Amino acid sequence: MTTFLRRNWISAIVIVALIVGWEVAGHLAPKSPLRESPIVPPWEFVFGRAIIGLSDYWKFPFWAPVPELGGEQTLLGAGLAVGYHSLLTLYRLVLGLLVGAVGGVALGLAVSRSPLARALLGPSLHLVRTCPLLAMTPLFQFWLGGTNLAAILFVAYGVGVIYLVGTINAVANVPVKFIESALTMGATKSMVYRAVVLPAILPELFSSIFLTLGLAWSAVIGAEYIGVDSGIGRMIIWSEYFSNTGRIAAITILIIVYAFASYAVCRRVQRRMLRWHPQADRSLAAI
Amino acid sequence: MIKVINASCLFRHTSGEEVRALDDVSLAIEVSEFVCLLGRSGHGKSTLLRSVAGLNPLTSGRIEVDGAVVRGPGVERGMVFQEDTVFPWMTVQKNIEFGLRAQNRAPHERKREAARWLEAVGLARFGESWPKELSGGMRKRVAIAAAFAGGAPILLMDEPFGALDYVTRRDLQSLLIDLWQRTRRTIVFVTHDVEEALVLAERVIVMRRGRVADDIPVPLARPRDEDERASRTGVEISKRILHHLALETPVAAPALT
Amino acid sequence: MSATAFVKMTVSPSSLRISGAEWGRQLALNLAGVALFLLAWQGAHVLVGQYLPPPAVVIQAAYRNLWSSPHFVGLGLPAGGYWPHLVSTTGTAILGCAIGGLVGAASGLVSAHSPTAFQIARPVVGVLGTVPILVASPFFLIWFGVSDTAKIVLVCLYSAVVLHLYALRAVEHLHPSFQEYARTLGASSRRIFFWVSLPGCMPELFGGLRTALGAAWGLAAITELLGTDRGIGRVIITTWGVQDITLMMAGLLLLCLVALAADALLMAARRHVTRWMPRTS
Repeated sequence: MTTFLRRNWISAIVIVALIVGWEVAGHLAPKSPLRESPIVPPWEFVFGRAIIGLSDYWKFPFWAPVPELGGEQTLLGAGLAVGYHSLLTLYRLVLGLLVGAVGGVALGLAVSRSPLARALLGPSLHLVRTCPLLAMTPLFQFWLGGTNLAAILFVAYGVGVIYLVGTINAVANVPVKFIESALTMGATKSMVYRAVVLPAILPELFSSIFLTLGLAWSAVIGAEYIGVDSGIGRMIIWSEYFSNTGRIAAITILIIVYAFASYAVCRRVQRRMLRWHPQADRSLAAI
Repeated sequence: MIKVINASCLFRHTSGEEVRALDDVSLAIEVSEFVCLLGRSGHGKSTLLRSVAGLNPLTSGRIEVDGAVVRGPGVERGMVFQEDTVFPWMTVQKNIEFGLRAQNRAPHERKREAARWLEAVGLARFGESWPKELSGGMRKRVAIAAAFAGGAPILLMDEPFGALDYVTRRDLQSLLIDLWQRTRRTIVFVTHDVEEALVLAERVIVMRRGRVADDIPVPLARPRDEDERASRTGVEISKRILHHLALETPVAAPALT
Repeated sequence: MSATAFVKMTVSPSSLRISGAEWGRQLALNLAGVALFLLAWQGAHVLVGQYLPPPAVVIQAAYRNLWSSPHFVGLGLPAGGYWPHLVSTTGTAILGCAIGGLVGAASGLVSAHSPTAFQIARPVVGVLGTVPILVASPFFLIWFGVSDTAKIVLVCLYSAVVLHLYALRAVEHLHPSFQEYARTLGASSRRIFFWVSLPGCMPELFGGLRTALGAAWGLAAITELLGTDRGIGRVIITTWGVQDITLMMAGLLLLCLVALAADALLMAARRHVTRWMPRTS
């Protein structure tokens, strides 16, 4: 910790300055007429009133009082609400990522087998990839309703398109020499796919993982904004509805923590699976 | 035995111009021979080798290996490339086992064979290493071991030592000759280096403009050290090869500052 | 949308470059591909019926309501069809990208050359790059009101983070021997930056710009979904509210077309700026 501070003291100062600056801005900003909606919520508000206020989003009549039914706002209720909605969001995120990744890669590998299929699919893929995912949220909501399935499929679609395109590109970029070398050693076509193409595209697929992780977070929150009425994204919308800026800030911090954690997990997995890669130690230590 | 019969190969350049990479080539290579294909770059030696490997279809003519026409890559023909083809995602051991895995051999047999060839190329301690942990010369040893371990009686080598430094190249040449003498496999070796051909080959086939320009036996004694290559026969062969390569002779020109 | 992620993406040729002789064949294949897409859409319509209107109907709706639309007036949207909304969203995306891109590229290039600047920028970029920018949108709407400013700032912020990270990586990937070579020829630091480093970083900066612009459409649209008075996102959410799938898809289609056109323009600019690059084939 001390060596970290000695080496990164400027960053540390910037972080402290940002935290203090927010607090100062919170006290200098014009007073909002609503007690629950400061324009810039100061920290003591975020970690005080706002956090307890999150118990409004606990809606089951057990374990903690339900404010919606006239119950009292409690810290326990806030914890339960955060835990419940987080679990739902994480469930949609992880399942959507898995379905999208597996589907996209499998489809990409299948398409890559035939140059004709690749050429024919090109324009559709370009269109599908360019079409802004977030703007399609209402479309998925319209088709599948405000359900868990809609959110999961929305995430899977966004992620899957990236993996599909990524896989096709990566397969096209596999050095021919590896494939030729495998063929001269008597490998069959399926063995070339299994033992050469798949591991060779892995680094590029992993770069897609980080890309899709960010996309998946956006997609799941987008789906919860407009479609399914639970999850972290929905908590933000509820807070926004009553301009509970403090609660929005608290939830934002929560999401930052989750996002950092999910990146860290991905980096670990990547480090493990790509330890053969010549640049493994360098590029993975980036952040 | 490899037989090349009236092989021709046409390439169309992106500019539309046709290039005759192989022009009615016929030749035969006996079992256990060590043959070098030599020539300037772009004169068809690599095309010929890749055609024998089955990686490059002919426009006309055919290639037979032990009487069977070549239609694609096969286990009886192994290959070592100039580029680094050792799979970076497999350990050295797994790389060497690859050919045997392709032939569905039992795991214990693969292990035994891999150990044998690791020993033979001097990498016995590196079986569990990742390729990125080895030097370029060591990775070349892995590629050679993998080609031999596959069990192919014919080994095709496309300028395998082209990208290595001089000393490493000499080491690997000795290693290759040693392996050849111990296994008596047929080796067809493409090079543009006259000295390398003299060190390695029993027979040098010089290619020029897609044709066989000359076919020269190399009756030098082994080991082919500096003295042996500087002998009368050695010098004559090297002159004969250089004659075909048609080196440009410098002409008098105004001085440049 | 999280930005750190994008930087991990390797820059790879999106399509293989084909020489002149193959061009006609490629065009035919592309046209066949478009036909295939429309056919698949039509097929899907036959399967699910009214939930997915056929392409002809959607295209017609987009065309008929482009300049003026009686439907929109009925829905309480400003008069004038899709056009003013498209202009508003396009303006947001491009303006946000341009400002944010310039700021981000500059801060990235400076950070790459100065450890102090790097240390200052890192925590800011670290947080902005990890949090899905979408989450911040309610704050922007509160701070800047229901206006174009909120949207532009959002797109700006995102683009700046993406370009910052791409610029950092571009300098890291640039082989130092180029700069050293320029120095041996007597070039000053300023000239090395403008003549060597900057052109050398261009391919990756364009990659970053493409990523940022691609995401900008979605960011602009989702902000509009959450609450502004103009923009294609507003149309989409309003038509969604009355379950008019045809008008919704027409809006989405127009947005896609604009995004495609902008991407094509950007790629043409890249081809020009980086025409010295070897083309992979």
